[in-house]
Amino acid sequence: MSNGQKRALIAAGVVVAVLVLPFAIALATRPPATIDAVASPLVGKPAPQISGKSLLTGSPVSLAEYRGRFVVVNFFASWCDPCGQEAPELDSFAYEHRDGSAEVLGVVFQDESSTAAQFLQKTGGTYPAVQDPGSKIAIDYGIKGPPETFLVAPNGMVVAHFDGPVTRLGLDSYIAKAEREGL
Amino acid sequence: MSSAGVTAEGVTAERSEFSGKSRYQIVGVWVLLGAIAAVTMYLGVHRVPIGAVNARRIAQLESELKCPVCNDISVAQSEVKVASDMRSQIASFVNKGMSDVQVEQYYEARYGRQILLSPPRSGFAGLVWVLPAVVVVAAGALGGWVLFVRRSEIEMPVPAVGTSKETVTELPNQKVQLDPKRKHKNRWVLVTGIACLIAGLSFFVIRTLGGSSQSRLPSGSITGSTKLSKGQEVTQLLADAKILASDGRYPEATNAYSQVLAIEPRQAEALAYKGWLLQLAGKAGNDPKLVGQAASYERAALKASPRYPDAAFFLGSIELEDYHDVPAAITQFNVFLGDSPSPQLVEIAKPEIQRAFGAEGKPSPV
Repeated sequence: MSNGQKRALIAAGVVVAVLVLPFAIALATRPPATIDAVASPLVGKPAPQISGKSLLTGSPVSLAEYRGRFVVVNFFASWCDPCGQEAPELDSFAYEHRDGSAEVLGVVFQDESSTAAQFLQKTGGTYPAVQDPGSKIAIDYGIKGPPETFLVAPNGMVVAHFDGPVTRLGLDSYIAKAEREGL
Repeated sequence: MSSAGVTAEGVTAERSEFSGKSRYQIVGVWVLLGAIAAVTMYLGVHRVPIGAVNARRIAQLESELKCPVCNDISVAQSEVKVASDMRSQIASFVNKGMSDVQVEQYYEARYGRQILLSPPRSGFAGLVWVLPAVVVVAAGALGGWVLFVRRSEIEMPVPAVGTSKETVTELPNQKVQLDPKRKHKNRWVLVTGIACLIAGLSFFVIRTLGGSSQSRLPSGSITGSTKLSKGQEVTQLLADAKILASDGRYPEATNAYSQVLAIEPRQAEALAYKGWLLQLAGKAGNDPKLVGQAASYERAALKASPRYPDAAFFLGSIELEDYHDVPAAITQFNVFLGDSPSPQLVEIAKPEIQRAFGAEGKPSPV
């Protein structure tokens, strides 16, 4: 192979790399469209009660008041890196369902109220989140480490449990599945 | 085979007696055994003070439940917040009268079976707790029965009626009873053996599953009649913690102090002695973090009760032994000696105080 041919081959390789690399990066960093639910003894059972004051507004919040709508219960903490990844997705999900078809309810896991509130402001989270004194809510939901998320059906039953970051599309797919099952 | 003591008259008399009198004897024996089991269980339940029983049950549950956010360590061993909250919750459940099984089921319903470090006490897996006792009872009963049958009914020659003891004609496969006196003795050996077996098993069952039987009663006590006030609960827990610490059962004593602090977060004695136990654990495990926590507890105890000599001594000890800060240790020892400490604690503190003052070239006040 002549020097000219070698240079042409290298140049072609570089061009291909330049074209392919952005796609590869985009695909690698894009949130997955599907998320996998994991087992939980709570699935198929009534969701344990959640109530408290919203970290951002101070107004009273309770899971019971969302009866009749899908609710995404998300356990998070400011010190949890994956929570930072999923927060924009949850905010996007909350915005998508601003008509009231579904709600997001955050629960602080082992974190100070002030730092958790700062975390929500920083990540753009506008959905209500409550503090969990005595870890009662976390124990009731069997939390092993944030982020953990539960999907609660309009009838108040837990339909799915996710261990790790969730995505808007993934949550939507589980809601669609639950609706198909008549929940 | 010897035929000593066996006569045809004896056999006939024994057979006729067995059908009527023996039946009542057997019923009487079983009534007696039932009474022994009942009395043993009653004594087993009531011989331990309520608070000590609850403290022991709480410590046991904490060691059987896994810390949910940790790697295979129990709630008792973990210092993370959820584990600490679970400890408070367990203490509260037990004091409210929930049984051990109910407490375990509460966590299992939320976390799944993996929250239990030992097999559950209910359901199919719960058989592992019961089967050994059942096997022992069954083996004992079978063994006893075989012994009874073999000793009381022996294949031996039956003398023909009217013949003398010396002229015996053998008739194989006919059963005869032993001499009534010997049979009676065998029966009482058997009864005593079964009674001992039942008594031992009763104690075993109470000690293993004691919590579940006690707390079926409605209130926070095993008698079902007394509900302790918060003050009484704290006093009881502090007494339990002292006993546990003096027995060298430090993790359980630490848990008892933690329970006090769950009720009264500024209780000086619980703060000071939990700090002392953390210091011991920190030294044993060469863990400066635990020693740091110990110092924080002592400072919190002194903040809650500035004239509490025990906390001053413990903090002085940490300053001297762990931080090697002799002047700070001497300051705390002076506070300790100025606050009317108990003579026993002064005796314990003496070597450290002498060492601290000696290191500064000062005469020791003790």
